[in-house]
Amino acid sequence: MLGALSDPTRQTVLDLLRQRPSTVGDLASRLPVSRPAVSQHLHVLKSAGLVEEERRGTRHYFRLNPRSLAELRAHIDSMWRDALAAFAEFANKETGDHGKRKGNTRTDSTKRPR
Amino acid sequence: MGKEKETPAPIRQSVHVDCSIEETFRLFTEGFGEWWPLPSCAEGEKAEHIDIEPWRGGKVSERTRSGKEHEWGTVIAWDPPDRVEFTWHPGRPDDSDQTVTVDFRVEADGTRVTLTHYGWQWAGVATCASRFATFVAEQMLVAV
Repeated sequence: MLGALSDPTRQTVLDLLRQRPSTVGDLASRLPVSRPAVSQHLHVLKSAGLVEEERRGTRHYFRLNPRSLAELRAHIDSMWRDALAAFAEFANKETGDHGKRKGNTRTDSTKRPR
Repeated sequence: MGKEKETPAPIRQSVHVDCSIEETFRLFTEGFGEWWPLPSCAEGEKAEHIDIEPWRGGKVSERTRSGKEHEWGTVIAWDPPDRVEFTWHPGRPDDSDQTVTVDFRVEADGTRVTLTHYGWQWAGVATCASRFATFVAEQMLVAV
């Protein structure tokens, strides 16, 4: 399963769909793989809820599921929050070890600009 | 940077530390490998060493226990003790779509460290946010 995630073509498909919604043909023309292979990747990404399919007339467009972007944001947000909390703990301990001020750490999430 | 205009909005986090601004900047950069809490994005294990070369154009890189080096980014601003800025592409080929800016500002009893991640939407599943990879794997397991 994790092997499937590290598939570079699938990552590239996600990158292309971040730029704009695309058909299987659009994607195949920009990738060194066949249309059936693109369809297979899209099927997996769609099953995982990362990609949505939309029909416009006779054409089928695939696009990134906006919910997956929100989830990505939440996860990267928490990654940096954890990283900064770890830094504050490290910095305060280093300072404390050198006989300087020592205090509690606290993190806070600042308001996001819009 | 001009990236503020892009959607979606950058991710921003900040923290207070009880150190002088100079000491905070030094610990953040020189001590990166000591405080960085996450597994290596390359091998799923803790990075043995993370280095930020202290000049503009310097590399941000990790070295794993097995001795492999992986580049995470390139320093694009080095202004001690106020700011360090670098491109951020762990687990991906070099590009400048994602940048991380770390600002240091004196405040009461210490320093405020504010980190802003621009272009995070390009991180995808290859991000070092290992928990996101786990999340995607869980989604896939649920879907199958």
